[in-house]
Amino acid sequence: MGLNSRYLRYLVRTQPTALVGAIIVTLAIVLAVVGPVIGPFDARTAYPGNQLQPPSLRHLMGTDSNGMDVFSRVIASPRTDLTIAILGTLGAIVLGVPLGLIAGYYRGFLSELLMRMSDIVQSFPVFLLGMALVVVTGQEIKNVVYVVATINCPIYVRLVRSQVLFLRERPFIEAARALGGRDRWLIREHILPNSIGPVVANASITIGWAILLTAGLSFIGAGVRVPTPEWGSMIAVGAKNVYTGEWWPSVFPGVALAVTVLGFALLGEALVHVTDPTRR
Amino acid sequence: MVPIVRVEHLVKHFSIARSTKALQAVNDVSFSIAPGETLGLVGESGSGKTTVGRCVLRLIEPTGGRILFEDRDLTSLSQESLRVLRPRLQLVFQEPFDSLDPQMTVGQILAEPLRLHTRLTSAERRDRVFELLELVGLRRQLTEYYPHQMSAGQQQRVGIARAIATRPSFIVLDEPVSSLDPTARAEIIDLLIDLQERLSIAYLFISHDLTTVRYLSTWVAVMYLGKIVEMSPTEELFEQPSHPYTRALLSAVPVPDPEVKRPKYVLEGEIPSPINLPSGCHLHTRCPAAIAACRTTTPEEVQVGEAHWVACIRAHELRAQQAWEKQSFPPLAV
Amino acid sequence: MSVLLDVRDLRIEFHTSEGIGRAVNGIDLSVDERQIMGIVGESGSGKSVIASGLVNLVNPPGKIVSGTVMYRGRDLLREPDRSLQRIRGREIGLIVQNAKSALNPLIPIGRQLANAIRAHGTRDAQAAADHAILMLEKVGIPDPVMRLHSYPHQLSGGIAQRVMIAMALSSNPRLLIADEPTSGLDVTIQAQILDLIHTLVHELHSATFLITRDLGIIAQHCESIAVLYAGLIIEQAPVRVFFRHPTHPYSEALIKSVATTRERGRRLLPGTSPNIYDLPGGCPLNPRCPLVQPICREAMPGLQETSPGHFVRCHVRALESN
Repeated sequence: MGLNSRYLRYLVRTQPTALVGAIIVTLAIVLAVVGPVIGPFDARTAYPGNQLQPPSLRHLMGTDSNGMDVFSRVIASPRTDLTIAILGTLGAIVLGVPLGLIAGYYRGFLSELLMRMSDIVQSFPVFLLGMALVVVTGQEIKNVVYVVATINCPIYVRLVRSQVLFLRERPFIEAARALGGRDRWLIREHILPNSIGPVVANASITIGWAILLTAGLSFIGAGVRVPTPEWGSMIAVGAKNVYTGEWWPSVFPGVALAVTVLGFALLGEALVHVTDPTRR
Repeated sequence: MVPIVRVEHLVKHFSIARSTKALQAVNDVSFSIAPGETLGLVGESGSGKTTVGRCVLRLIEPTGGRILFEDRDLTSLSQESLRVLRPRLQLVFQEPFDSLDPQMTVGQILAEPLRLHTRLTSAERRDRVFELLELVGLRRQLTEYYPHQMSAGQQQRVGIARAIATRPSFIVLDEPVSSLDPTARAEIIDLLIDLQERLSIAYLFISHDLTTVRYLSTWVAVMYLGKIVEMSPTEELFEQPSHPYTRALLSAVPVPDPEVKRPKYVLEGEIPSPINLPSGCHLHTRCPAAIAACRTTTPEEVQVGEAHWVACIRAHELRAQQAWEKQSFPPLAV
Repeated sequence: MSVLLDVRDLRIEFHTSEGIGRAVNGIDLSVDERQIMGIVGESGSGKSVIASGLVNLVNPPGKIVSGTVMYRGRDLLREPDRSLQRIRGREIGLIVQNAKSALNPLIPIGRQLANAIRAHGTRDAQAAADHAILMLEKVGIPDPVMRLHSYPHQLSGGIAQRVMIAMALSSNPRLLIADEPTSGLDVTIQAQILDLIHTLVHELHSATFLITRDLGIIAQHCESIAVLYAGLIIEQAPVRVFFRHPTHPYSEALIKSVATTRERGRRLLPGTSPNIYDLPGGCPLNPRCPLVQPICREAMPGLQETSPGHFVRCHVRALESN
């Protein structure tokens, strides 16, 4: 299934929300690249004496309790959040897909073991597991990436496994075997390409959740640390000021977070819907 | 002439989960096929014909019996040695669309056997793919198409092209035209005949459609519940069907000619399950000619013609009795 | 004999993301009481949609866009739901392919059959049950009393199909529409079921539409035939006449494709079956027809009577017969 224009037009026509999602995702990616550079102020510099200024023409979203410009920090955040989320998701896929292939294609002890391990990981409340892992490994960006990858890996193991189970019985697989293909050939040439669709589609959703996880961990102080701009930690820093009426340091990053996660989710849902093989 | 394929006493039983019973799909089937000839294997559901096809290629492992291909015992070969032989024995499937990888273009589908078994460069492969398309009557441009963009007839042509890509000497055709419309069906059959003549390939043609089988087979074997009940050269089977099941099968096929009223020789009842096979002759529960002995005796093969065998204890008797109306199946004009 | 069903200019379209599929493009059909008419077509011919169209049961994305289906003075396409339902159950029987999927998987077949009987006449539960057993016997199902309690998935294809026939015939319908009633079934079972339909239809004097792609079935069981291509009737004739003189080029190809005589290099039609979303202008066969003339690409031929009772839709053949 090539990524040609007819396919994209079909995607938009059947799932209009995909367009909304795509726009948001594109914007987030653009900001991840240029965000920290185009801001009117440096995102990591504190300007004492400038704390808690309400939104104005100079500070579009006001300043926070450390005197940092909220707007510059909000648009610098995607670089942090998206990097972690995308790398983490990639890690989950790179690890989960081969495991899923093995679990689906080769029945027996190994397959059972993989499934039970996935069950264990997935049975923990995501957030607690995330917290625990970060505490154990240390609070660095690198470790947050590993946490995201580990937590999401079982999703892909299961996804790919169920695809493989479905595909193994298909006549075209038997045809390839009749041609003389060995197991590895079948997996590489036929099963993998046919399983990848749902993986790619789900990636977008996973990225959305990963952003949320990162923000959440940072919010409780277990993720990214100040002064690195990150929506979750920004919300945390501004939380205490909400009581005194200074809403802008928390609300702006909060809205940005919600919209971004929503965008990834919408795009992902649309892609999942369109690549669903049962729709045939 | 050494037969290209010889099947000796093939048996296949499938075990059933949580049960001591087995599904006896194939019970002692033997036949041989000469190079360049076609054996039509006919039967209804539960006959075991599809299983025979798979076992002959060892895509399913036989429970018993031997399969000889070009005088080599396939059943005793290791998987690797078997793999090396695969280019010479191929398979065409019933459902054209399902047998093609939906993610691959026609060009990629046809290149696969070449990549697996030859050392051609990609340019050489491309040329061979064009050759194959031409052989099956498809345009070159179709190499860029995906299966779902083609009609069922075209998809099946691709399936056939794939099967002949490695120049096999034997192809198992498992109901290759049953799911096609009548006009597409006829074209594919004509193509198969043409290819057989040009490339000298032997066919095992598995089907439930007697008319098609008649059109292309040299020999016909009729199966019922895992056994061959009658085997003979094609025309002789249609002119002198000698087993009650064959007669019932022939009389059940609606002839596309309103002037012809076939004799009513319809079997009563349903086909028994291969899990609970009737004793003695498996047909006895439905056979209008059944006698007491049929329930207890497993019929031996009786020779009723030069190369015509029937598994029925009353074969000679029945042949003498009923004159089969020849008008039902006008002889082929050759 | 009087006309029982008269269809005029039936048109059915499918509105999907691929565009507008013109499945049925102006069908005129009529069947007399006690007549068995065969309708033959391949993929893209519209034969599968016609059965539902005749009884106004076309589901979205399909839509009946025009036409009339006159049954005993009423247009079934414009009849209010209530009376339409009564007519459908009591007077028109419908048999579809793949009986098992048409039966309710959660209810034993005995009850389904009895419900069908009760919905269309018999009130008394006991009488309905007795009638159900009678019908099961008539369709040749062994041990009918035991079968009453079976669920559809427990039945073999042949038995499920017979149950469907029992349901369709339980109300002694005046019109039976059988859409591929035996496809997918073994040949010996098919023969039993077709003989059964034939017998019952004769017994009840029901008019019948038998829709199939198997010319053999039509030759053996029908009195007249209508050939469908791209949602149009392209030839219509009594069965004997048709098989002796298939006139339309498509009909000729169909007959040749089932011939038992082995002709070398049979000339069948090149090309593929029509795409209802993209039909050619003029005569729909023109891209594939060996007799094609310029006029075929421009104008749709009308149905012409080339000999008494024999209708053909072809410019070239019409000219020849004049």
